[in-house]
Amino acid sequence: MVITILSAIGFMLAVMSFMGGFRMVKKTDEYETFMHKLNGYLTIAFYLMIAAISISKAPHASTIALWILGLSLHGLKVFIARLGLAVRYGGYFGATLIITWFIVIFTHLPS
Amino acid sequence: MGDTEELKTRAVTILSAIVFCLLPFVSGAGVINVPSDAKSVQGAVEAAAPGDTIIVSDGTYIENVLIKKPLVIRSKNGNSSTIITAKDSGKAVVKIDGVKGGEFFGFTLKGSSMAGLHVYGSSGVKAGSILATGNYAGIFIEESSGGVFFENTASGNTDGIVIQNSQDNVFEKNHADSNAEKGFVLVSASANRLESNTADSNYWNGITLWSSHSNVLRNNTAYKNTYGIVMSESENNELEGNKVMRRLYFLLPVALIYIGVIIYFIERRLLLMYYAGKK
Repeated sequence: MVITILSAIGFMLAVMSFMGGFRMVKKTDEYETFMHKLNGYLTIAFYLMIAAISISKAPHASTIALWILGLSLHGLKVFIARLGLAVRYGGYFGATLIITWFIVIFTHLPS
Repeated sequence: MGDTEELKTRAVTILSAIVFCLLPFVSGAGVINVPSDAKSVQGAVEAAAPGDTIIVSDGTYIENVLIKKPLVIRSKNGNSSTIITAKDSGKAVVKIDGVKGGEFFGFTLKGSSMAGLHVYGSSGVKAGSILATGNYAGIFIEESSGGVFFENTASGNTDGIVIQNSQDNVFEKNHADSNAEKGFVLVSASANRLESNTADSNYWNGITLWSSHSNVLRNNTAYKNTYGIVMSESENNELEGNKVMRRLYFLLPVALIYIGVIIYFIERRLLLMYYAGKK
């Protein structure tokens, strides 16, 4: 149940970060940048927490590989933004991260 | 020379007579075609001997079929074009009663307030490619054993597939979806095997086990039901590789997106106020 709640919060943060990112394409205010970064890094923090719990429960190579793949996508998004290519490619990666979070949430629902 | 010829002729005549007399016994089971040999399915069933094959051509047959002998009954072109509708809605569309063996394939069965296919007190019955819709129970297996039910679809009924007081039956690749109450219902049913079936989008439970023991449920899916797999007073059942997701959870991401958007605007407003105060 804890992992479900964490997934739900992480998913909401991902949505919030995604929205902030879209607004930043139009206009970059100081507070918008702060919000986007805050939500983004919190999303990654939640991702790492969920990954740690999930891997501790099922320490299989395939599970670890998938979590690393997801983390790499998050890292790549940050890297692209830092390169100043966010306007051009950030939207695609933002959408990819939302899909990643869809997978995270659907795989951590109680049956 | 003449006597020998006569003897030969007599021998051939007697032999031919014997072969002719034995022919019905040594040849394979008979085939009855509906509607060319018999006008109705029930008519064909009554005319058939145990082990005979009945082949039913396309059409809608309004009748209740009662089968009390082991027969192979097949539609010619599958369930989409061969429909049996209950004449008396208070009875099962097709009832297989007290039969050992027999096969039933490829029909649409509808319009019964009892069951589309009712297998009662039978053993070793095989049924496949049945589409049961608009009945109380799509397929109802009662006091029967050793049956094999595969690739059937029971949707749009009150309950999809009901297994009651029955044991050692196999249910493979059936679809008990979109029923008004439940998908699979096992009541006092033991040692049955349910494998690779779907029980999706039923109003209440996907798969229900009530007072049912030692059944094997493997690789089934129960998506978008109010409850996935519900077991009550049931012991020693083996559940393996089943995929379950309740209907509520399909709405969860939508709700989370909605909440996320609201929180985003609240967060934005708060930060705006903070930055305005700072300046």
